Amino acid sequence: MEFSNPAVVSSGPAGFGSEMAEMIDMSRIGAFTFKSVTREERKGNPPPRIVDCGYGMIASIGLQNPGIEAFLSRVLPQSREWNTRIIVSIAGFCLEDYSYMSSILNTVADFDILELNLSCPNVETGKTDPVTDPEYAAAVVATVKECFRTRPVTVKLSPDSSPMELFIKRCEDSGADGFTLFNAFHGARFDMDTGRPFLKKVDGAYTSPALKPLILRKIHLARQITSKPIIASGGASTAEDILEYMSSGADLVSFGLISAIDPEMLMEIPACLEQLLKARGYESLDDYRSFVAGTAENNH
Amino acid sequence: MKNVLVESVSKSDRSTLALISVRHACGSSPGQFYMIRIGDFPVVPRPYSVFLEEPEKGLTTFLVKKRGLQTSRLTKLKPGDTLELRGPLGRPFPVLNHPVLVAGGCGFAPLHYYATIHEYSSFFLGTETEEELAFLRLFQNMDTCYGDELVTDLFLRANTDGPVISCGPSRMLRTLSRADRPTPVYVSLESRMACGTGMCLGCPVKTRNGEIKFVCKDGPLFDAREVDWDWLT
Repeated sequence: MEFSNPAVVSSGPAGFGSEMAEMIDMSRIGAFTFKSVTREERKGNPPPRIVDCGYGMIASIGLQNPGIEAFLSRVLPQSREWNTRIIVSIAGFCLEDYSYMSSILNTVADFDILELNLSCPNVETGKTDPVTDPEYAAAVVATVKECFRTRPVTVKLSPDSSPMELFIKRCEDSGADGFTLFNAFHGARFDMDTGRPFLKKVDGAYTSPALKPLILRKIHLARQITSKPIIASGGASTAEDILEYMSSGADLVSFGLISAIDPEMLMEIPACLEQLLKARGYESLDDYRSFVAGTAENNH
Repeated sequence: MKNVLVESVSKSDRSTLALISVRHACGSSPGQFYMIRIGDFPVVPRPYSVFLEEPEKGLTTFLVKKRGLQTSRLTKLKPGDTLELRGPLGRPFPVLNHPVLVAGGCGFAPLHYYATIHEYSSFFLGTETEEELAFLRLFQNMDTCYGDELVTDLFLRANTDGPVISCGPSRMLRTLSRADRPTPVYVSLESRMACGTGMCLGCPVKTRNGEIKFVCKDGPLFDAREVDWDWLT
């Protein structure tokens, strides 16, 4: 699958895209990932949903979304005019949720990739948890692949899913066509005056440019396990980051926090990337990919 | 985000409050806000209501109270420094018929802007300290208090008529929402947010009919009767 550029807006911080589409030219991003959709509507968590951490923030949104039916009738059609690759992300609380949503999506046009959010840290998943149970994660992938056959399925794993090698192998064995690595780390902050957590649910998704080296390392390891496409996710905020993530083994790079706080910055990425490549003597991103592939052996 | 130059900074006696004027003016209205940050740290910008816009001078002014990482850095800015901003964001306050203005602390900022442009009947202001009050008592005939005396008590004792626009801590706004008045009480809500445009879903307000709205794009002003206060606070 071709992308106009490797910068992807990740699922979550940019919501459902309508506000972003009013601010920027969506055709200049490589792909837009919708915030995860569930079978039923979710109102999300009560405030505060965000706590500042200086070097980043913790968000506890609680998967607020309109539910799959309203998403398909009211939200997804808006993206027809964006002229970019569209990734739909789904999150379920049981296998039946996944089979229900992926069966419907199988016949829906208007998107290119189905992403499985196997890692949202804000919702109690009961006994079966795709973050801690690789067999359940694999079962989700197998269920979706059975129902959804028209386009690629990528799996978004939690950085807390360990051992990562087992999760990747089991998901790949079950038919995953690619991976988004990773969803956010869990984080928490406490008020030293009250001794209580700032967030009512205590923890949430920690996003920060400071995560970049942690994600780079894990992608480097993941690339030794799978040859499937990898969308790097976590810590990217510049065009330079794209080349660094590609060096670690990623094919595409998603931008989360920065998409929310400075969406106009996304517009500068294609030109910056071109400059960076030119300055290093590459005619195109494919040339750089070839260079990275050639040096990969030495990195391992 | 856009880089803008700091034109001037004035501070209260103990430097807990600062008025920061930047070389930027693009037609904001009272009630609107900007997302502001200084350089790369803290990473996430914070929302600040416009305290005053002076188009003829090309200046916009913000009121900042020193109480955390970013506000500490903001209050240390000097003329000639730069900060980054995005905006104006949010919906302007409606122009009401001689409203009563009730402000707590930095909630003074949008009401100050409103009062410089539109008519109002009375202005109540409460601050944490006497020096903060001295810094913000900028209009004649303001009803003011500080410290343990609550601006809500001051307002309720005054038995004013007409609609109310209020801004301040959520506890203060919740108290005002219980005021028994025939006219509406509007509350300008404060919330943490990442984007200021409705994307991040970080600043929810639940209405009494169960709908989720957002401080940034649906507000910041809400009819106090519309807000589900138990969910919010």
